[in-house]
Amino acid sequence: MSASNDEPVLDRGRLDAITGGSAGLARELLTALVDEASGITAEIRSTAELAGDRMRDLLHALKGVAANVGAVRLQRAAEDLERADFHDAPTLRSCVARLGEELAALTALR
Amino acid sequence: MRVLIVDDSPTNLRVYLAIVSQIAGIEATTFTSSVQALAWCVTSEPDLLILDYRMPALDGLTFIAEYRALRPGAETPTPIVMITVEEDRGVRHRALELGASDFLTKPADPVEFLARVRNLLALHESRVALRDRAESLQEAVERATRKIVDREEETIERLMRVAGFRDNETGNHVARMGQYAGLLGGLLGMSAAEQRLLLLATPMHDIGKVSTPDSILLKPGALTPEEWVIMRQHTTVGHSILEGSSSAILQLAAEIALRHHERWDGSGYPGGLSGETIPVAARIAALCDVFDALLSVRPYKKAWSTDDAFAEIERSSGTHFDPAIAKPFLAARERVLSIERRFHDSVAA
Repeated sequence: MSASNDEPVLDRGRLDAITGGSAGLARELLTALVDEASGITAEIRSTAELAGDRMRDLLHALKGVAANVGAVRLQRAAEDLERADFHDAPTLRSCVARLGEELAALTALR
Repeated sequence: MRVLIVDDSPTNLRVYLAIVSQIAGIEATTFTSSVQALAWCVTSEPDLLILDYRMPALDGLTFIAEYRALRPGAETPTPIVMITVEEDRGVRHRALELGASDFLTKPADPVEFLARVRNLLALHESRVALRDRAESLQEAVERATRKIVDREEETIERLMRVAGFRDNETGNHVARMGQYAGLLGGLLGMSAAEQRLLLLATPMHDIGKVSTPDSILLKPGALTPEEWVIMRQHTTVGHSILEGSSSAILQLAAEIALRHHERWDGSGYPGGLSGETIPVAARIAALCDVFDALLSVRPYKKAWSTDDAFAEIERSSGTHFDPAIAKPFLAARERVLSIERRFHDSVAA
């Protein structure tokens, strides 16, 4: 599934179910997600072997944490990069750039 | 209730922690390092363990195996929930084999997560409560049983005191007899429970002498044939005093009282039984009774030396005594003498 701008940056309903409606806890979770996802994204950008095991692990981890918090668009961006043709440099650049954009959108929500 | 959560992702840890914290009374501990979590488990036992499958160094499957190995055969093992993705069917089967209790699918569904955690904690709490209740009941039963056994032993001891007033034999004679009989039971391969029965039942062998007239019981000289007839009745009288009880000690004591004057060669009384038709407890008591009588002072005899007493047992093996009982008794000379010293009569009767 491709990311769509119709989808929310964050599934608030899911986040509320996790936090029991606590706004403070939601902010904490969002901060944890942004911190961890930023680290993973930075490693994805610097990983030379795009089709290697390490890249697969990084994308799996990114997808997992995004999904767990309800960061829908970041999750989709990670899934698209997972499915991308690693020989198609422009597409790859675009996918990686989208990761950064979705992260920035999440950061703005904190 | 203590919950341990292990996931290498700090974000996932916070998500799971936030969900379980919605349950009142939860005390959660979290680790991003499965190695550190396992080290923590060596000294701490959570009521629920939630762990991710994919972790570096020590994955979820290895963690489960190592965790279960920490407390093998635990009566109330910690429930373990492993978090996997839907398609990890093979991993789930392996986890079940290793001792996982349940699974949760990633991304976590907060409602399902909360329900599973609640259910597993409630189940574990019930199991622990049942175990504690069983232990407490067991302790109560043991206390009550001990009280009954203590009372039974006390009653027997008081019965022996009554008999002691009628007899020249000292309290130590019956105590030594019990000890010798218990020792022999062990030498013959009897269980600890059987040895205890012998120890407690053998001292009552002469209880029937309460019915023997003083003129016969305390007579310093030899008894006439008529007096012997009366004297020998102490076996059947003792049996009638002790028989019919539901107490295993008194049942054995009745058998010993009736048969402890039977002889291996059939020349004893009251039944003239021979060999293994004489109950083994009575064969044991017969030897212990004679051995201790030989070492004791009586109105009509001096105490024999231990060498002479052992020689007499050896000489009478196969006639008076069962050779299979005499042999281990003679071989355990030092242990027999140790009992004799421990329960030695300070004043000769």
